Amino acid sequence: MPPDDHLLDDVADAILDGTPIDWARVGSRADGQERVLLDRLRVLAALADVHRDVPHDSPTQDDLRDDPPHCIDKRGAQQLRGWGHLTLVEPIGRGACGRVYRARDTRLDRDVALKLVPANRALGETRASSIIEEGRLLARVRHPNVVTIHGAERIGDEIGLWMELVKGRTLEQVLEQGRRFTTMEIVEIGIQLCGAIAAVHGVGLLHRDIKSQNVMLADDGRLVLMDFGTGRELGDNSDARLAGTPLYLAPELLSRQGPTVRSDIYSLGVLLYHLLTGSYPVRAQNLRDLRLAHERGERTDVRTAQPGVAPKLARIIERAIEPLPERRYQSVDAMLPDLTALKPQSRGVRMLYASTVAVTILLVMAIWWQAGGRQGRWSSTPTALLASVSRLNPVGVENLSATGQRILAVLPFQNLSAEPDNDYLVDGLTDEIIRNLAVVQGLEVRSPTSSFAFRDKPRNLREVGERLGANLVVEGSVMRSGNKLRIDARLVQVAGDVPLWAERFDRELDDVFAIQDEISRAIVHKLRLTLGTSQRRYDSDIDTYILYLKARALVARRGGEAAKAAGELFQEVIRKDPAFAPAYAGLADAYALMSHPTLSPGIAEAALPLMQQAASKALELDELLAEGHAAMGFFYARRYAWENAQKSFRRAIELNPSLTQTYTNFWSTTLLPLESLDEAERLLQVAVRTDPLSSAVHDHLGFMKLVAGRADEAVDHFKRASALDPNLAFLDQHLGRALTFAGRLPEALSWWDTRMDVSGKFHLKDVPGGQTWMAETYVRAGRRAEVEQWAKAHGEPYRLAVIHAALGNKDRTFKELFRAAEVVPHRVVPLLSYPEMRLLRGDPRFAALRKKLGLP
Amino acid sequence: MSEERKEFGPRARNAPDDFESTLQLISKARTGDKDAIERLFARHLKPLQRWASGRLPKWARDLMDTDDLVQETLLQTFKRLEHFEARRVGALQAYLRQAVLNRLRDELRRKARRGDATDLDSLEDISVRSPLEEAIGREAIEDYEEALGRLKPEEREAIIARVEIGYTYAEMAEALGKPSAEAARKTARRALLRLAEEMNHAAR
Repeated sequence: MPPDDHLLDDVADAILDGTPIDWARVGSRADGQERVLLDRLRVLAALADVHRDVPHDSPTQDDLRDDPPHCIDKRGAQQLRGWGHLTLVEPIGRGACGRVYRARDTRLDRDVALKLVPANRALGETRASSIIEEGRLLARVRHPNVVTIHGAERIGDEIGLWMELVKGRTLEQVLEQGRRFTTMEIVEIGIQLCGAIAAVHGVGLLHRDIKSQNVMLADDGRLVLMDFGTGRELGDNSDARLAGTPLYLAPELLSRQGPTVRSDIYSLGVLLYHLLTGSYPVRAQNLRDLRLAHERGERTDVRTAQPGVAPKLARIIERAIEPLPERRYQSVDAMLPDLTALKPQSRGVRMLYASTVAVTILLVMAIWWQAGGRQGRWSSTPTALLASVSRLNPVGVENLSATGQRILAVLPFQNLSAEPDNDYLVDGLTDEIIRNLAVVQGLEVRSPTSSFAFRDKPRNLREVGERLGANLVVEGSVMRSGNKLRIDARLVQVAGDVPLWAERFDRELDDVFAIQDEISRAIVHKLRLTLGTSQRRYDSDIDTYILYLKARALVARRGGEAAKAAGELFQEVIRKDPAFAPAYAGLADAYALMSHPTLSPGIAEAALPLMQQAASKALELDELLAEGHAAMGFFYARRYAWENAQKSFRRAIELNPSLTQTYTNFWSTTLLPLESLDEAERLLQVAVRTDPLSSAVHDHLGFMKLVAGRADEAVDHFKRASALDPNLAFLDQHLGRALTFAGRLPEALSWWDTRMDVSGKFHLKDVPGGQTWMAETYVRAGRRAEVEQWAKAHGEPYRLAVIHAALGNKDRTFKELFRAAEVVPHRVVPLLSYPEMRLLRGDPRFAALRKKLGLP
Repeated sequence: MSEERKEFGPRARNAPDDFESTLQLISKARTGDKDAIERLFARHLKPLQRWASGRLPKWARDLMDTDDLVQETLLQTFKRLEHFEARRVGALQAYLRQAVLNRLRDELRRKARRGDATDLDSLEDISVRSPLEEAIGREAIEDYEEALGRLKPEEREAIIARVEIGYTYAEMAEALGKPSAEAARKTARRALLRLAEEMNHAAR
């Protein structure tokens, strides 16, 4: 499709004017570059929306200044202000739409609550009068469970609503104190609120702000529905009112439809859900995510959030919170009988029971206060216990954050099902969770390679903590039975083995992507962090996904044959789901491996352009895919486009800091030839911390130190790498060289003497290829004659260059290097920085060679 | 949702001669003319108070009086107007907005250090963030502020006037010294696209 010249202009105008934009349609008309800008414009549109919709929510200083004698000194001076027949005593709250004061009604000699809303020009005349109108209608509602409005009036530039002063606590406050409601209590609360809301709907009004913060458990035992969305909400369909409690809002309100009886019912459903589970059916960190979650139908149903809940109650709540308004209860009167049916008592006893419940709650609270607020005291069932434990957590989490470091390891989830194929699924799940969490700011996440070292090991949290340097651990299990999936996940604080969060997900197999997200979100939420750079989520077909995970496991083996097999699998994944960007990135990784001449002789050169193709395709599909950028970095480095290589690698690290392969590839392909040793050391240190049990990372850090002339430290790293995986390719050779440069010649010689070649049949020193890196050791140890023999036996310029360098034959070394640069330039590029080549430095030919190779 | 832009902001108060008189007021204010300061103050206070409430989380709005804070900042800024060179009304607005933003940040930092915020830890995460953070996230706000800082002054003023404070194009034309509302619209459009590009660089 040809790019549309005016597309961006039109979008910009719509943003500036606050006209709704159909982003999906605009996106489909945009080309690649425009799409990148569209992403930013979308952020700007949201920003403009917020500024447009911010309510001016309080009387300003200006308003108060006009009338100084009446002004309440907000700093606490007891300068009493009058308002009509009322005298303001003290401010008791400040809502989004005005301030609430305790006031004295001098005529009737009683205390009331007075809500003052500024009736300035910003509010508008129509709205001002409709607030008063609504107040007067509300004053007609007489119901024990609805706060009694005494009157509404406008005096000067202020609208006042005065009402009964209810003393007590909100349901939210009760919840915050660690109190859990039983099923019967929730049923009773539901019944009473149905009555209250029916009374409000009965006079033709909507509440619009039903939430646990707006229901008071009064000191006299009544449950009282408070704080109508007065003022600001009237006739206002804007987003502004979403700011307070979006989690209670019906999805249709988020898509900017007006409130209805059914959106009140939705909020009531969420309230009951919240009392039952302590959570919300649809959760998000911000409004945008909330909208997305609703659009994608990411909901936790009651029974998942609270296994063991009475099925009938669960059904009632589920029906109240149906995403489609037409599938909800159509009125509170329709909901009421279902709730009432759950009660064993006859109608006559109901009121009695109701007050008993209220009294019980009060009693419990009183005891709670007496007990000095010890939390978790009232838990009786296991789930309640868990919930109360999680309430304790903020303490633990705060302690952690006090030290500033939250370091998390996600242990491999256990596969509890029989089929081995599920291993891929289970490992993939672990991997995905790590990936999601890796980008969270304020959280350090250990890399998959290190985490997987604990696979199938008995659970030993202390060891995990010590070896990975983690203070938080996520663990869990997966059971698959046919198309059903049961996932248990827990977040545990290592110190003291304290569970911070736990949840069970019983889902269909296809939901696995949503669950991965949900687990990550829950953890982030629990740790009071925010998700960083957004990552795209894929909803691929589950079989395709398992295929992809198999291919990824093959790439991780890092061998030529495995790479080829992986490449084929990735191709198959792409055939099945051409939009699945990670498969292209995986394919690029496979080609990168194939481009290694030692690993895949014959196809090395052909692999590189294919790699670039796959990597660009991955990025075209998903600009935020770290592996895609890393693969591009690799490609650029091999094409000597250093600046682009650096940019790509840095972006990849930024997008997924837990992927340590990016750090090591960045070092060996780019930072090494550029000799950016400071940056390399910094990054590789991060990699070692992120992936402490990876032999490859220690190997690379060791090599970096060898290049930097710190051979002793290099020896330590190589030894550590060897302890983790003695079979790591080239490690033997690296350690021998490091011992040599550290001046530990006897150790180096005996090391070389005992090394065998890959076949395990020959001593390395007897194999021509094996001798190359021993040359330096032998010459230093005074065994020059042997090395001169090797020089005669060798024909390959690359090896000859190394051997002649050891012998100090500068001219010959240059000659061989220039020859090698013709044949295997990408091997000569890093070679120039090796310590074996130090004698060449400063020679004009060295500079010429670097230039020839495209090095700065 | 009505498709029509909901107008807000200072339009009702701003007489057509605002451009000239604001500049005159500024020069008077710089000589310490109290009346001029009062009038400048009256003109800019409410839009900025409104603006500020979008930038503060609810807990902070409850803890500190945003309106007081904005008022105080404006008064201080007007007293030190000698540092400000009046080019356009738009420039003054951008200058004041930055002053308020700096003050809000200081105040939030101070509150956070004092630990006031932790008392409210039990609140839902959703309420500890400002409406703007809720909508686009902290990082995007930082990208935005950075990118805004890299725009040319006129572009920056256009964004602040139109997107943040909600001027009409006619008001914008006056504040930015543009010949017509249409010219102001074009400036705003160009500025917004430039801003998106700058944000794109910031994200790299």
